[in-house]
This record gives sequence, C-alpha cells and structure tokens, in this order.
Amino acid sequence: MGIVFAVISGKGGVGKTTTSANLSLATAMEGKKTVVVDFDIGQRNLDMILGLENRVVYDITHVMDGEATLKQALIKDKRSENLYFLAASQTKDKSVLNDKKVKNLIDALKEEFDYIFLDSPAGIESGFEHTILYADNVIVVVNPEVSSIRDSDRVIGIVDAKSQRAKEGKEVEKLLIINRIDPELVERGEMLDTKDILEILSIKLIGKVPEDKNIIEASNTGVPVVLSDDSPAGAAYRRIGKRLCGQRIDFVEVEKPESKGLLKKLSGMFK
Amino acid sequence: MLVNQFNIKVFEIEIEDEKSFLDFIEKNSVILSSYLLSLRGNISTTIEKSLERYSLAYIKNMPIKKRSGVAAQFTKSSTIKIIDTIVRSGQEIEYDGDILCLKRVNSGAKIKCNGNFIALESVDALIECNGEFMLLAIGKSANIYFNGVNITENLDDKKLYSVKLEKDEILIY
Amino acid sequence: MSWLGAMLGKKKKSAKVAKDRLMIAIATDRHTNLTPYLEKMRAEIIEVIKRYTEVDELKINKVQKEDVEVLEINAVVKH
Repeated sequence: MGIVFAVISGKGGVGKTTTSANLSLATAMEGKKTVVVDFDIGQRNLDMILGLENRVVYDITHVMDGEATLKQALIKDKRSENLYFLAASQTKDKSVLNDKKVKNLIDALKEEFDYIFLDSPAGIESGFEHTILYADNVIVVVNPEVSSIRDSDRVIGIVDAKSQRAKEGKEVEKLLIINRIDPELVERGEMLDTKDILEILSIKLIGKVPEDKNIIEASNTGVPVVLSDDSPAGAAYRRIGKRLCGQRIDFVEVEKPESKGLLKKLSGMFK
Repeated sequence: MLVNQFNIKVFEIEIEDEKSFLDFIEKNSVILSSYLLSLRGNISTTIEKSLERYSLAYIKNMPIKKRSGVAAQFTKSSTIKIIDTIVRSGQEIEYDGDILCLKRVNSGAKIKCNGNFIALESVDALIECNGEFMLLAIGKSANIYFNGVNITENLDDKKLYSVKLEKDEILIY
Repeated sequence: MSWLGAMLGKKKKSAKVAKDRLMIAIATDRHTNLTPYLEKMRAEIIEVIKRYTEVDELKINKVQKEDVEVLEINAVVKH
C-alpha cells in the first residue's frame, strides 16, 4: 500500500511544484516506485517542470471521468525507471473534483505505487482541500518570509481540521521544507532563520533548500535540479528524498554562505 | 538593595510516610531539581539529608499565599476552555468563559472571550478579553484588547504580564 | 577563449529552449479551447499509431496561413 504525500504551501510561488518534481524524482532514484500527480486542475505546470509536456495525452480529469484508464494516462519518465507522472487538465472545470472520484483515484494509485506525491494548487479552495483529503502526510513548503509563513500556518490548521484522517481521529504527519534560503540575507540578519520558523509552525523539519539560480535553467529546459551534480538545491532535494525513504541524513547548514575560494571559482569556469 | 525576580514552579507535598517520600524523590530527583518543593508534615533528618544529597531546593512547613483568582479557576467544574493545540493563523475562537491556551497563538488567529485569558506560550494574535484578568506574553504581531481597551502598547514582547481589572482601573504587572 | 563562448552559449540556450517549449505548450493550450476536438483527435491518432508501433511524443501545432488553418502533426515513433 502506497504512502500519499500532499505537497502544500498556502501561498503560491514558494516552490511546491519544483519540490514535487524534484522529490518524486529523488525517491524514484532511491528505488521507490513513485508517482507524482498535478492536482492543479485547470493550471497544468508540473508537466513543464518535468519536461514531459509533450507526452501528455490523457490527464487526471479523463481518468476520474472514466474516459481513460489510469494506465493510459500515466506517463513513464524516461530518466528514472521508477517515476511516473499524471498530468492535470487544462480545462478550468473544477467541479470534476468530487470526494468519491478523488478517493477512487488515490486508492488506485496506492495499489500500484510505493510513494505518491500530490502537487497541490496554491490557496485554500477546493483544489487544495481535495489534495489533502486522503493524504497520509503533508509536506509543507515555506519560504523564510512572513506572508509565506503565515499562509503555511493557515494551511497546517486546515489540514488538522479537514483531512479525512483528521476526521477519523488519526493524525496527519506534517513535514516542513524551508525553501529558497538565501545565505547572504541570513548572515545580514535580513532573513528569518530556521529556528524562528520552527517555533511558529512547530512541525517536523525534513529539509532546507538553498536559493539556487540553477532552478531557472532547470525549469527552462525541463531538467529538474535533482538530476544535476552542480546544484546545491538539487543536492538538498536528494537528501530530503533519502530522508523520506527512512535514511538518517544530517542537515547541512545551507544558511551559511559557501566560502568560494579563488581556486574553486577558477575551476568552476573551466567546466 | 539588590532585588531579583524569578519565576519558579512549586511542588507542594504533604509527607505522610517517610519511606514512600524518599522513594519518590529518588525516582524523580531529575525532574524535581527544577522545582521548589514546599513540604508539609514530618520532615525528619533522614529526609533532609536525602534532599541535600539530590540538591533539591525546599521550604519547610510554610504556607504559600496563592494569588487569588488564579488557583481558584483550575477546578474541573469551572467553565474554563482549555486549548492544548497551537492556534493557527485564520482560526477564530469565541468563548463565553475563561480560556487557557497551553500552546502558541500564531499571528492571524483571533480569540475572543468573555472570561479570563491565560496563555502559557507566546501570543502573536488578536485577543479580545472581557474578563477580570489576563496572563500572557506577546510577540511582535500581537494586538490585545482588554475590556475594550487596546493595551498592546503597554506590553513589551517576550515578557510575561498579568493584566487585572481592579475597580475601574487596568493594572499591568 | 572558446570556453567563454561555450559558457555564454550554454546560458543563452536554456532561455531559448524555454521559449520554444512555451510556444508549443501555450499553442496547445489555446488550441484546446478553440478546437475542442483537438484533444480527442490527438488521443485517437495516438491509438492508431500504437496499433503499428510505439509513440513517444505527439505534437499538434495549428498554423494560420492566410485564411487557411493548417494542423501540423509531428509524431516521434519507435522503429
């Protein structure tokens, strides 16, 4: 039986989709049969981040409406033998999301996969509610920034109130990823530090991802950073992937600026 | 004159049987070392030696004057609402009685009570209390109304304050 | 100085790649609304191709040529 992770944030633009793409690849690389699902009905973008946009034939709406089977809609990523992807539809008709249809889909995915990542839409409306409804765990993506933190606090509260597990009296495990940590800003005291964020949100930290310019290139080309050896963010996502698979990986102090020696800078130029 | 103010937690213990008391402090010495023990009953020299061995602070046979109003509320039959989870942003709580928050109240939350309000951890939210007193420490985004008066400016963040309504005056300690 | 060119060339390329990908993706999105049969047709074409060989990618672009609309269909298949 697979484990369902809903990737949520509240605020948009903090890196949910990037996180979903990279984490699912990371766990697939660790040997878990993984599926990542774009739950942002009407605003498909996980496909572009993964570079799979031209392979989408059937999407989640086709499956939930019975127009296509799950097998037909699932796209196998060529870069990893364990990763599959289910796209969102581009039609804005969100009424396609109903509890029963979502439950059937999640149940079917749990039969087939070890790890299931659901990329939630931003906000707290029905798309988000349906994403967390049958989740076993939620991964909260937050930026070290006041509105992101407050919005994340809000969604954590909603998860505790509205998920199916919560209604059954079971607890949904909430896991935190602090994304886009800028070491220079932290050093200058201009960025909230991890300790402050954990104090307010009080959930388990599973990863810290530094700000990384490679992310832009990665989305441009459709090659997630987790596949690159040169990306600090990619390395962070790989560590988080391992942690999700039960490995004990120490946290790296991404808050500290890397002291770039002259030699390292020069060697970097020759790559 | 040098005056230091501390907040200490106190354990009141009525000693009935010497042996069971000695067992108790032996088992729990680690926890008890962060409390002041207020002991009543027969405190023998054996007991005193044991207390010294475990470096436990204690006072003998001294009644502690409880602040009126505080201790009286904590009985099962009272109408106190105990909130033992973090109150998250966007959550709104309204209650026609006393409220005790055991955990944080985060920015973006709203609590309104017609009784007294006590919070054991930082309060960063909008609080409207129309009772006789409040006990709280605030954070940077807090906005506190006590009986219709905004008292936020009178509170420094991170310090624990007790706010009382005495006759028609608001007293803040 | 060739490494400098290579480095600059690489950076320029990613933005261009993004532009190319976006143009196709957005065009597809727009077509879906203007030509509602496009999705279904695309799926059916894939089914037909699958009868003979495996489909890796199927792109359908709509090109406006004067007053004629041309559907460009590109399929990457396995042989």
